[in-house]
Amino acid sequence: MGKCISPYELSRDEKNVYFLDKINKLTSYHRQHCHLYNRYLITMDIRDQEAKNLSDVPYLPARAFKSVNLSSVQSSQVRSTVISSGTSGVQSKVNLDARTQLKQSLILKEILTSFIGNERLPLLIIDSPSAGKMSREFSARTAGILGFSIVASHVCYALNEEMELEYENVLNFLSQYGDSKFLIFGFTYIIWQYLIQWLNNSRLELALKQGVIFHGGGWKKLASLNISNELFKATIKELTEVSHVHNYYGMVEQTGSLFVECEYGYLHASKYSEALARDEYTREPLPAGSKGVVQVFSLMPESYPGHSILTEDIGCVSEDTRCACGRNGSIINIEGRLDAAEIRGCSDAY
Amino acid sequence: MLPKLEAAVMHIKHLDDLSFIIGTPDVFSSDRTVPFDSLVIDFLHDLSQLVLSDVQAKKFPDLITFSFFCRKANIKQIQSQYGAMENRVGWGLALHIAPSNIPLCFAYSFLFGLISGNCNIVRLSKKDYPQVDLLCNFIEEIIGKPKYRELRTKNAIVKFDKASIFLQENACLFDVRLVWGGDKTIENMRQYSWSPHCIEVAFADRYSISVFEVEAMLQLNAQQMQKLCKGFFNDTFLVDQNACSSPRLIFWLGKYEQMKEVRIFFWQIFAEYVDCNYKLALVSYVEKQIKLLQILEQYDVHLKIEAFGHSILTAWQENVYSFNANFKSPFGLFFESSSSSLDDLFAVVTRQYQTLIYFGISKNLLRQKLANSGVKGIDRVVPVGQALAIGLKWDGIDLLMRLTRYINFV
Repeated sequence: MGKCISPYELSRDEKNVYFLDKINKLTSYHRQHCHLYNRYLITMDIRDQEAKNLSDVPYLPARAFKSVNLSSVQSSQVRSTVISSGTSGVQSKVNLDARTQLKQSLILKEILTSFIGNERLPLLIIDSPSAGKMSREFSARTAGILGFSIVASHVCYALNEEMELEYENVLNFLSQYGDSKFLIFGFTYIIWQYLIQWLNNSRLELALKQGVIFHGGGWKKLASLNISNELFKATIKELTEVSHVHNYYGMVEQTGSLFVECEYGYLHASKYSEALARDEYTREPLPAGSKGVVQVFSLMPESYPGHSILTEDIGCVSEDTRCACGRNGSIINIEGRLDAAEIRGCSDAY
Repeated sequence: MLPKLEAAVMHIKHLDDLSFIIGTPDVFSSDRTVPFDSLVIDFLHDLSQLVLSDVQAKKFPDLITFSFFCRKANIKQIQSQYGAMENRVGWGLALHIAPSNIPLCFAYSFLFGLISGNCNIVRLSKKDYPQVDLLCNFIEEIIGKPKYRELRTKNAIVKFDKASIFLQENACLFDVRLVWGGDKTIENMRQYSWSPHCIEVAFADRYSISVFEVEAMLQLNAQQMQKLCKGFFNDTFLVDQNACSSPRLIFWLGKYEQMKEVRIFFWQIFAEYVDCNYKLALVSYVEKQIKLLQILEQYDVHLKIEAFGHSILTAWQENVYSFNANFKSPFGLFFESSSSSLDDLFAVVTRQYQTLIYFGISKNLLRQKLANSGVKGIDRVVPVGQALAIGLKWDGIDLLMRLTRYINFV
């Protein structure tokens, strides 16, 4: 079973030309179809012309999707709405039409194939069954579960509705599928909280030798507990002997086009993604390798103008295309998150 | 003394909800005094001397400004503006609800309550600020002296939780309540069962503007313009452009062609000054973008954004008549418009407008215009640099008059 690396095969030069062209077309498309987006760009005096560099492509702050309605399709065309979990209480809402939803699945499938091959594999989901329930509005967590389920031959949920590990069910799954390669998917803090802690406390064992874990969804909760990517990986490998652990970076505003961690620990941009860093105070684009605020690009969003987003994450982007894993594509390194705004002045005491 | 205190304390329910930072429950049974009480003046002066001599205090410009206000010379000067006041006395017990985001607003409120002859309970917000803690320590030190024993029984600085039903049970005890905004807090406060005679002094959400006379500005050389910009910085970026007195709309009064020229001159010099003295955090920049998106979503308005330096965005609005006090954002977003007549500006001014910061126009012209235009807003007219200077005349109210009652002797 050889590795297929097609979403990572473009050289830097090929990628630059290919990607910029597609991103420019998306900007133009969204200007035509999203009235508010177009008015915003006109107001900001951003001309309707092709950007010569990626850093000239206009961007929206990620928080825009929490605050205003940005949609490039009629409401009748909206198939589903992905909502963010939102630590602040206000949710991002992103409208998907059938076309964008399909694109999202195909891109994710192509990326995953590069890591696990063409075959559909059994999937153990570290979450409760209701988390994977498809409805009109669903969270990033559900989007992730559904996305991974598409490449699966068989799906098993490891937790019950009370978020407790269903040990017997998992053993059952492993007895059937545990002897050959299988997938494990879950949100990072859920795996930590409900699988790893459970194994620690119960002193029971789970041999996941043939398992390949994909996990993502943010480190904020674990960072506050001082748990790093290295510690997470080391702990889960020690407890379960799992063979591969792949972290990924993604967000509700750009589902599907994930930055997945390769076998050597680097998060690669597929041909559907790009990233750059900007200075925190001047917002000028920084040269590759410099630490700044991360801006991400994705070719996935067609039903909403989410193709160029300024995040509130700090990190750096390197263009090194000689990763030992053989994949080309920018490498992103996320180091943390910007603090919330502290504001002075008059305000409600209550 | 003791029976009275017991009687008073007995009918104060949920007293345990209050955490006393200064003072004791004695405050509930204390007697009011008269305006400009000599003990109060001495107390404020001793406080100012203590703060001004402290090394740590120097780190906080707002603390230094407050201490200057407390000096005997300043209080006496204010007193001289009011004359005899022999028929005026304090109302009684005043409750002060301070806003959570201006650290020393509580202190000014307390000061106004003191010099008007009231007994005061000041509620601090949950938010901690180092200068608040520092000032409370200084107050405790002075008020703890034997000389000020009386003041200590008549005043308290407290904290109590939003969820507490202390006010629900005891609102009737107060003769005055000062509520420092915003609109929501004022609305929330009004639901309690205050005594029918309780005076409300409420400071609602306000909006402020700047008027720059074009020809006068054209006369400035670079150095003079820099001085103006420093003052304007103090009006705006010093408080993240988020105080109600911080200007959000800049109205250029004058001829169009001249205005176009001088405006660039102003913004460029101001941007230079700002970039040296202020760092706009990315999340704050994002906040501005969001506010802009929300305005565009809600209103059919045409704006043209221009950036100056890293922290300034200006939003040009061709027609001042479509201007709206909901067009606001902190962190350096300035709406701009222009005309050769002040009447055009006053046509959009509502009661919400508080401060007019001016340059290049005569005070008398403004006085005349404001009196005759029928405009309901603009309670303060100040020169550039003075926007945040708080005083006894605030939001259209003479606080000394309002916080005292007049006994009419026939």
